[in-house]
Amino acid sequence: MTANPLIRRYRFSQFRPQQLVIFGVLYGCVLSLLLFINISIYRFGDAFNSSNTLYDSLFIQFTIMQILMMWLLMPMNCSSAIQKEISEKSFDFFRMLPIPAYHKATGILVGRNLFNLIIAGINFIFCVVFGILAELPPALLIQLLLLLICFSLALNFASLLSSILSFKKARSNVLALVLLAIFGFGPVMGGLFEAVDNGDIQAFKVHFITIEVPILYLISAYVLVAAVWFFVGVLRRFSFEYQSLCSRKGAIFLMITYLFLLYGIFHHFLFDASELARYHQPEPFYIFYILGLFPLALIPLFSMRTFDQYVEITRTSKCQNGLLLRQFLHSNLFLGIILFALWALVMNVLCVLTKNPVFEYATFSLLLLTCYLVVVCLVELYTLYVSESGKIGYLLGFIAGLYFILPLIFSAIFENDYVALFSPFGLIAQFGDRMSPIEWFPVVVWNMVILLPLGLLVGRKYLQIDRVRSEIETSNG
Amino acid sequence: MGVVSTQSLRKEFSSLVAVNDVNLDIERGQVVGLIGPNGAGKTTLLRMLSTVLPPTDGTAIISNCDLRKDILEVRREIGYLPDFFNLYNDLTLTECLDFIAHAYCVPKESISEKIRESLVYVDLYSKKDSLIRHLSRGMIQRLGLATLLVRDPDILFLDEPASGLDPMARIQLRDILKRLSDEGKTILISSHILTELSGFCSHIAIMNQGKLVMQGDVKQIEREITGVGKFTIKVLRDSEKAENLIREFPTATLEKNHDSTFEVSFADDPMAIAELNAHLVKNNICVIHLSEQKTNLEDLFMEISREKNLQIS
Repeated sequence: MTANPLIRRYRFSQFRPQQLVIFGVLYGCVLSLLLFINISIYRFGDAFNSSNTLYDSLFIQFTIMQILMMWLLMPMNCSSAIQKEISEKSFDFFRMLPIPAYHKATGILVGRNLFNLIIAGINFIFCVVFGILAELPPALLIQLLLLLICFSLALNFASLLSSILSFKKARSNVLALVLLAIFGFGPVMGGLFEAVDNGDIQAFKVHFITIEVPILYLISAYVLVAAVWFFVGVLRRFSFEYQSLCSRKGAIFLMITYLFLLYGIFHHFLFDASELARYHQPEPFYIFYILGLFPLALIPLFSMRTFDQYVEITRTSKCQNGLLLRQFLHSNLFLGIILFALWALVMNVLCVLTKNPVFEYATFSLLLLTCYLVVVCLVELYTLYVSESGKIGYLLGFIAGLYFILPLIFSAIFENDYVALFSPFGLIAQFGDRMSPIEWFPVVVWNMVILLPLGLLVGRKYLQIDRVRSEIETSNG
Repeated sequence: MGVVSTQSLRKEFSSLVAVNDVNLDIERGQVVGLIGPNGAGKTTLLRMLSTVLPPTDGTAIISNCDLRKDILEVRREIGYLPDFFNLYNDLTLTECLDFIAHAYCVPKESISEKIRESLVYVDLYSKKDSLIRHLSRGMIQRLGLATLLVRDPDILFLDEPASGLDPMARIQLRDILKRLSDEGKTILISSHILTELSGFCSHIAIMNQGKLVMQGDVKQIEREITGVGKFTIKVLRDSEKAENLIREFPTATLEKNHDSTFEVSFADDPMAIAELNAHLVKNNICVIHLSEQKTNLEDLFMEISREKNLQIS
């Protein structure tokens, strides 16, 4: 571990005696207080009717402390790592370190949390001891431990990633906060109490394709996959600082991974007739179909090329196709369409295999494509025009807001459900009730009307890119 | 091929070409002053050579390592000091140098000695246990040099190392740089304060509007610009006779004459001055002073800028 120079660097600053004493005393006080309060209640109160309930309670409290350290304090430390380097103007030295990206990532993760890790280690021993004394099943302890570690890895890498998403300026860690909210404590605490009280969550099994696995193992595995992706993102960002977070191949692979994992959960419900009978509304396939759309909104943002990169491509590209076609093939728009095609292919094939109404789902896919193109065109307009006006994002965001929300507002005002179909949200919500393509046709026309000016603006800028290149070459000899 | 050799290195920021297909060649042991006005592309070039900024096109070979392919090797080979930097405020000087030494794989047994030597070299040994946050700007600049010395790279890229320093700190920094150049380090140093580089650079590279306008030995460039070598000759008596002799001498051109002191320029034959001296002495002229006129970098840069502007217009 000390072979990593970054860990060594953080060890110097974290293990100064005065700092160790303060934090050590602080932890000692919290520990003593917890034990004192719980033992007092056990001895003098009537909340704990046996030593088992006392140990149960202590186990939960120490696990909560563990969660606070591993899911909150440690990610917070990671999320400020790069911003601190930037604000202290030492970032160039960090960039220049001749160590591989994974050393940098693990160096920050471990180095910035050295003290936390020691405390977490001690705390973990208490957790295990109280868990054993409370006679909790070993399987539950192992599964909880795995869950704790996997979530911790995912949150820490996500926080580090959020810290390095923008190298240019220090900013608040919105992504880290959002992630913390998503993995919020409420459900976790509730689940923890439930698990310990019932004592049988470790035996609850779910299906991954055809394999039956305990639910906590499956959740851990899924979170671990997310952690691996976050880690890959961190490595890419450290290695290719000025490029998008996802390469094109990476974006497609990420999409395939997501669809596979989603399919893993849904397989059982999609193909097992007895299971299917339990789910009338909405149908499992429809939920699967809609959940599959999520990455389409996120992945193109992770792999977005900038206008500067478009201009660079005109110099380095070997593609001999027509100007507009060449630009289109390198554009964010094209990647969006590829990802959508991938989603549509998987969904429609599964639609056939699971004997769902193919025609309705296929036409619905086309309808969603028009909606998706509107959104991707807005994103592409941002890419193309942000160098001319830094505030273009506000205008495009406002247009996107109108596109998504306004039909829902009109639908509520005029008490007409059909109007809501003109919003993608309304469309998704009403799909089950309105399967007729005749009802969808006006929505397609509406989307085309919006797409026309957006497409023209995008095409116009694509054509200008080659002119920018010619101007560069002419003015610089 | 030199120890640092760029091949059509280019950096574009949207429609701005910050570095325009630069071909720079630096031999081992050369101290090259990278000069040019603000916005000429000096910092961008240095940042690309230091792997901090990826090139748009072209590449560079540094100590036989490709800038694009062997990034980690290049980082180990070079030392780069950015124009405005800070070091880890929460570390002491010794800890910071220890971290750098470990990161750059300096042999463990020699690290403490290297740290001591580096701190002595930059005159910061007395501060070895102070936190970096307590250092002045000049001290941090010198500590920046110490971070390079502790791992002792042969190639140094220094970007405006004296910017923001007071005169005393500048002199100290210049002394350190002179010592490094005497030790045979290859140094590429950028500055737009040309007096800072005078007398210490063996070569210069001049950038303007992203292009490398000129590169070479300081004297060679001086000759290229002025086309001739300029000499000052002072005689004791017979100044009229001396003037006539100089005027008659075929390869010499008399530029100025006052108080028995002549400014003479020669076409590029280095033997001509020796021949003129012999000619004067043979004709009983007492030559009491003969020296080559040194053009400082500032004059040279102004001369080049003037020439290039004329060419552009």
